[in-house]
Amino acid sequence: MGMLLLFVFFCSACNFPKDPNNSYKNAKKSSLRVGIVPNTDSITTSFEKNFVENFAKKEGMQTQFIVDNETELVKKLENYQLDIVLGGFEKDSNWKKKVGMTKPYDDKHVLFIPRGENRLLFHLEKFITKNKKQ
Amino acid sequence: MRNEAFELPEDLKEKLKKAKKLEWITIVYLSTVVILMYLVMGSSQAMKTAWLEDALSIIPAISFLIASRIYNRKPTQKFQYGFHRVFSIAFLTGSIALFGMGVFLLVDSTITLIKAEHPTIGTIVLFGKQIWMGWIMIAVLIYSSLPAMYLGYKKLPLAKKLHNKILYTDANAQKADYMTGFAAMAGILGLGMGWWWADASAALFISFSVLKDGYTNLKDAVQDLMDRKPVHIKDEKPDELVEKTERFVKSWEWVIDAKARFREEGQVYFGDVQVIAEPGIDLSQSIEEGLKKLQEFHWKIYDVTLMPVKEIKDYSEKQS
Repeated sequence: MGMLLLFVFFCSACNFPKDPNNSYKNAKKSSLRVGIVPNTDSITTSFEKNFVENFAKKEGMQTQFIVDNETELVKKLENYQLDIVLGGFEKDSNWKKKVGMTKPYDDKHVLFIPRGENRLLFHLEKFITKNKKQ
Repeated sequence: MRNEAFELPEDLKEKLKKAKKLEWITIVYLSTVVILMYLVMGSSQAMKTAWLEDALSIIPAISFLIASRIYNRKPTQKFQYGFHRVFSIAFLTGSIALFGMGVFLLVDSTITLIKAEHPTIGTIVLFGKQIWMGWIMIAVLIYSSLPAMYLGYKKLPLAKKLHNKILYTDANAQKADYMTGFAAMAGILGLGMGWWWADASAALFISFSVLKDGYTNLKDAVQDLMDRKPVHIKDEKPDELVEKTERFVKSWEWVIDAKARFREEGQVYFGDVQVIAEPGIDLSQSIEEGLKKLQEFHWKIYDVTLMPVKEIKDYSEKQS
């Protein structure tokens, strides 16, 4: 058992954790699919859009934006048809059970990602840490 | 019949003191584990299961410490048999908690697995480095298993010597705690490999082991309270001390035949011995002397009634 654990550890520590649905890898290959909820608070939305664009640029990803209502976008996120949804969401949002969240990029706002896509999350949070809005 | 406060033999008193100390250490240690685990568990089902298991495993330690303050009190007007059974009650309480939690965890993990929930595990910045929370969870799991195993190994021999079930169960569960730890670690590593189901499967495995422990202990506790014939705590085999006591009584000059029966009252045994006495002896005198001899016979044979009869009633014909 211990040996097996060690084996697993050394084989995969380099690209840990992985995405069950390969969101990060696919985003690199084709493009990062981002859903935007048209929000009354356009300052937050445009900040988030800019933020994600910078992230994509840094990762060398193409981006593809879709604008739709929250329900539709979250549904698409659940089906892994989107990689990120932004719309000025806060960390105690009602969608908590259906989506994965990044840590806040300021003191309360988060981005939505598909649940369990931990590699994508890892890279997003790394970017958030470096570009935290004070 | 005894009306003084219960005292363990000298060498066992020391063992009890040591056991109490170890249980205090256990409580402090487990509290730190529970806090740490809560802080890092995130949305991992395996972590949640291991966390609840660890939180629950404080109960035996607490109930042992409470019971060990009460069990040796002097019998009172209201509690004329003393307070030995407080250990049996503590044991029952602990096992019900374990069993109930086992059922809950099993259902909870199964639902998680069926709903195919993908646990999202984020990152933390430690010393300026971005680290996946899974690694932190694994570190905490190691902290939750290795010292627990050590404590379990330390407590096990004490529990056997003291014939103390709750201590034994506690020690045994802790000794096996590495299983929970490893299962949860495997679940987290599996998650890292991109297998979303690994986490809930590990949780399912852990809840099975909680449920199994809970069931065994619950059965045991109920049987004790049903006045089952005393058994060794280690392997559930009948304690030969009962037969030994019977032979001891039979060996007395004035006794023609005897039959003993005992039940467990916590750490000690209560019971009665039917005796057929030689005719023409001073019966009350002989019984008084016999009782005194029995009191010195073994510390576990604590409260005995010697009952002169004409014919012995055998209640042990059928094995069940």
